[in-house]
Amino acid sequence: MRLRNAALVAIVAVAVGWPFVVENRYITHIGVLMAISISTSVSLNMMLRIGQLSIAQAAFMGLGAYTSTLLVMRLGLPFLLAFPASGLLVAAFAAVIGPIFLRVKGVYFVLLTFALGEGIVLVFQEWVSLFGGNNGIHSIPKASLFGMTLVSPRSYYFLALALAAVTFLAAVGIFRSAVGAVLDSLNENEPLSQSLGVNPLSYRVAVFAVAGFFTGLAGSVYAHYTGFLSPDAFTFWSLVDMLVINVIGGIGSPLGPVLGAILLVPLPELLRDVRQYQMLSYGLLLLTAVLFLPSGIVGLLRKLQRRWLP
Amino acid sequence: MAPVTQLLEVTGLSKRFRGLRAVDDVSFGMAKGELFGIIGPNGAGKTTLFNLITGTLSPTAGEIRFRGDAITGLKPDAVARRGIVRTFQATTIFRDASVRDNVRRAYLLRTLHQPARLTVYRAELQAADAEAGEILELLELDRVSAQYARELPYGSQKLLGVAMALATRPRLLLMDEPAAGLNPSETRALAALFQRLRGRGIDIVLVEHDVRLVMSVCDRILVLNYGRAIALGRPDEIRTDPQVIEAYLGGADDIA
Ligand SMILES: Nc1ncnc2c1ncn2[C@@H]1O[C@H](COP(=O)(O)OP(=O)(O)OP(=O)(O)O)[C@@H](O)[C@H]1O
Ligand SMILES: [Mg+2]
Repeated sequence: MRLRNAALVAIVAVAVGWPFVVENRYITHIGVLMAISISTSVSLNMMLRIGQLSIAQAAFMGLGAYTSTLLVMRLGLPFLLAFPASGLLVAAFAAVIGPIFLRVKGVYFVLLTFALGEGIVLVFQEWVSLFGGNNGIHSIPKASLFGMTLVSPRSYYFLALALAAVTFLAAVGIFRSAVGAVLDSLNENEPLSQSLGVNPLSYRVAVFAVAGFFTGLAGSVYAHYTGFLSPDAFTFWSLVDMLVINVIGGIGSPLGPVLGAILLVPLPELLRDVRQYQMLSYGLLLLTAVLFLPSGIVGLLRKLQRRWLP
Repeated sequence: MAPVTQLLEVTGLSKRFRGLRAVDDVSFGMAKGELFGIIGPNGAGKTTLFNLITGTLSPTAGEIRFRGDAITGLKPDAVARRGIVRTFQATTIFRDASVRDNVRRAYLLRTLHQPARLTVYRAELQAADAEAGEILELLELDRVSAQYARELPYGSQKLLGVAMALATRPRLLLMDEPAAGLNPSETRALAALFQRLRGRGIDIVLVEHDVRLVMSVCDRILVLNYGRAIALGRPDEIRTDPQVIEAYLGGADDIA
């Protein structure tokens, strides 16, 4: 237990402290992307935990990003309002479509959400007057919180880190609670669970909405940080990134996507010199993980922990 | 005779699978306080009848009423929340959870039947714990409560299924062959359990192959054969019914 607390303090200290030690804008930039990626990947993990792979998560991030941007630029709302609104809008959207989409499962749900994601991106592309089409939206105002405008990558890192931490704690909290017991039961044996009185659809919709909420918030942070939005940031390929992060980190626990994001987000940068091999190395890494780490990095750590820390 | 308020009332219930009439125009009523038995040869339609009552299958025709309300076409979870909960013919448990967790989960699945609040439900976890402890004691499963459900012997797994159903606080318990695979002493314990449950105001419909058990504990018995109700009455009436004897090929020996 003491070991665990010490490890926790160390992790928090490193996560908060390193940008003051490594004063490099570029590395801090990677840190921001990493933290945003943790939020979206942990959100996707919530869906994976209920056995429903939602391909639309990337487009949901886009919904959050454009919502926040338009609320600030068109309606002049402060970031402090636009930020929660972007999460709530995506959550509401998920709650409305969820009862229809979540009626189906497995590959059907995957295909439905794939079509939904493509549809949303298409709207971003085609509704030029609102979303700026393929040219996107430029010069998005910087976020400001409590009269303080966030300009430096470091300040965005802390915003994104806070969001990542809250998303992670929410996922852990949900799955460790009584609600988590219900969700695990549904995942293990839905007919049995339903015969005991639970309404399976209502729980799936709730998880879909919560995952949408955090994904929308991540989109908002992303928009105001990069200052530029274009539809191609939210396509199927961004979803593949989130999914690979989950598979390599381990989908059985919210810690998996956290570790996955820390490992994988910097990778394209490290592999810069071998750009033509980038996709290949990505593929090899995935293959290795699937073959040798069926429960991801988290599974490996658990194994090591059992062996070395009785 | 004054009209009795029926607890469960099934009228003209039918279920076809393609050409097969698995349940064929079955009607019966069950009064509160009655222990109601359903028997019949393999494939007679007993499990299908349970599936229809619990909403797992929807009927081709007919109506089901519970405490006066039509429940035909309700989803299984809605039926369970009305108070009709079933146990399964095959053992159906959360294999990788502990015995205690199985019962806790059953309690939570009923209590938190839909996500209503954004809290962690700490109080519910404690209530689930208390409930699980009590039920496991009632069914004498408390000594194995820490074991994985999959490690239990078959008979205890079936008993665990009953424990889970009880954790939802049912009004009416539909039991699908609870005695199958039990040894004689376990079967006697089961018969004693029925009486204790009745004492708690829980009514029971019992589907069983163990005709001796059904005859000894049930107040009234419905006999199905090829989906049709061929007899309905008290055990002594059923025992001497020529159609029932006919259905059970071997003759009177099997039913005595
Ligand atoms: N889902 C289904 N699809 C097609 N046929 C089915 C289905 N379920 C049951 N049947 C058929 O309906 C008939 C009745 O089956 P049911 O399981 O209700 O019998 P039972 O009385 O419970 O038998 P047993 O004593 O063996 O459990 C059987 O012929 C069975 O093959
Ligand atoms: Mg059966």
